[in-house]
Amino acid sequence: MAPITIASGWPIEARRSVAIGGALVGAVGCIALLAPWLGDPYYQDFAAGLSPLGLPLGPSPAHPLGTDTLGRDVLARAAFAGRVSLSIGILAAVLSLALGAAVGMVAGFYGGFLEAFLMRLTDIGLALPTTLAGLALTALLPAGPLRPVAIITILFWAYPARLIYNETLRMRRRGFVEAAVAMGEARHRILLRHVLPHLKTLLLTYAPMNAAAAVMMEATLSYLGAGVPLPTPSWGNMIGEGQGALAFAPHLFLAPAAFLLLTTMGLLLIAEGLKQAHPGERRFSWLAL
Amino acid sequence: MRTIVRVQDLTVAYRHLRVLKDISLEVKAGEILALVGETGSGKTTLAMAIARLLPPGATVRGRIEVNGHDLYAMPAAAVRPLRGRLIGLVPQEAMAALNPVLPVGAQVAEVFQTHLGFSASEAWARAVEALARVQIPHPERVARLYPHQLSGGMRQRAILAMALALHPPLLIADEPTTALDRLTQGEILALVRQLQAESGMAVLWITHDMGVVAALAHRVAVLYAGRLVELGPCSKILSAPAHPYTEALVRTYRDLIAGGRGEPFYAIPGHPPSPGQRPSGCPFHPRCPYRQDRCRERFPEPLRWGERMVACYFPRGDLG
Repeated sequence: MAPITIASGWPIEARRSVAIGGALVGAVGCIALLAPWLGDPYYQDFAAGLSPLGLPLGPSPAHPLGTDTLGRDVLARAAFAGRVSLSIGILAAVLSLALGAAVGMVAGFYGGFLEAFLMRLTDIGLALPTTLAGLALTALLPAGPLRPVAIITILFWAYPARLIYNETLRMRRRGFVEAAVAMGEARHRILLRHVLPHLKTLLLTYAPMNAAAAVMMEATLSYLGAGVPLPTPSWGNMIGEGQGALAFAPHLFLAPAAFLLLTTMGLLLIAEGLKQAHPGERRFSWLAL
Repeated sequence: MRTIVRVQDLTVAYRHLRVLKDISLEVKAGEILALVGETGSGKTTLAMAIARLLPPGATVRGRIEVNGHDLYAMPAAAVRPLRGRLIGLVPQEAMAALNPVLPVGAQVAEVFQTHLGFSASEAWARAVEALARVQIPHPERVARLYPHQLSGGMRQRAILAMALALHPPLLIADEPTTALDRLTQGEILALVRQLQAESGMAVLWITHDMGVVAALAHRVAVLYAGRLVELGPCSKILSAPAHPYTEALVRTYRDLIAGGRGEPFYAIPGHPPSPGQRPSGCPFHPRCPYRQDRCRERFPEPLRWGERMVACYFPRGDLG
């Protein structure tokens, strides 16, 4: 297994996937970053933002994605929601991946009681029905912007833990680990210096899939009213709101759904490209999520 | 000369499986002891027992001293800093022992960082020196290469550089040249002899190749089915083996060298016993052409004369 190299050595399909995926995620990210310049997500324009009958307006030059039932600009809300959804999703993805990798590495490398304890904990984590458990945790944890982060981390860490555990277990018996022990290296140093570099590609290819699933999960929670509380917009709660207006103003539903779709699709394309670039790492599929 | 390794009545078992029984031997400074035996005779177990690197299930009885340290009398945490400093270990497969995702220089440098607390750049400079010491050409360039970019002989040299980095008084090598071609093997053996003569370290060289023994060793210890059956100076053992098993080994090797005269090669009849089903008495008796009834009953008391030792009721040749 070669170390991660620059993209020029990758097959064309891999580069294309990563480029398209990166462009999609980048575009959504830019819109989210530009949110403050796209308008106020909370300003209710009762004068010009609603039709004479009080209904939401469709797309127009003043409101590129129209307005919602309260006369607020949908683009401004979706852009602002992008900040919320992306930061929650990515923070939770990073945390769950880091936690899972740490658990998997420790369990796989040290063995014994630690292994048994951590892996049974992982089994419990894998057995949780995500949505139901997410709702239960919502009831248990104090409200706030970090609540969905905590919930997604708790629900997601077990998957990378299992993956990294299996790989670490394979590494534990390798000659260079034994050689390092024979040279008197400390166990934790062997784990970090010799085993971790082998897990790098696995972690790298898993990360965008995990991020896609985390963004999706945040949307699910917010859609069910268990995530980001209103009036703060998130793609999930915007979809929930838009659902009621589906018959007469479908753009309220379609706009946040499109942002969500582009983000997850972009992340999955990046993951697919990375997987193609590292053919040895096809040990999992995103369906496993 | 100072005794570097002293093994007394060593018995190693995994539950009821006795892998080694009553092994006693010494390796002195400035000496290369070859440990010879067939697969499954316990060679590697003996080496690992000396370094206290046996897997957790093993029970070890007897006494092992390395450079005056009784490794088994100290807590495991105290043994770790001694590895590498006290014992350099060259494992069987150089490719497996090198981490494929790290440059070899970084892996050698690691020894200096771990044991001497050197900074990364200092350790790197020392690693390049260590690579130069095992006669790797262009060491500063080779240090930056990954293991798969090196030839088998180069990898073996890199491993040797790592094992010798801290100038340990004892080098244990577990069949390191088995996977190499004869020419490269010869180069490595010459290098080891030279380094050993310069530093005066003790070397325990595990092999099943009598050719390597002849080229390298000062003394030879022959293991059969977990028992030490013969021990003595290399020239004596090769010219006048006392144990029937050693005699057979030497004869097989001679036939291979002389070979091709139309006569069939000599092969020891039967198979080496597995550790689970070792014969009673002298474990070699089912394959021994000189066996008598008593061989079946008890393992013979070792006979000692001069620098030699043999465990056999009917030793070959003249014991004078």
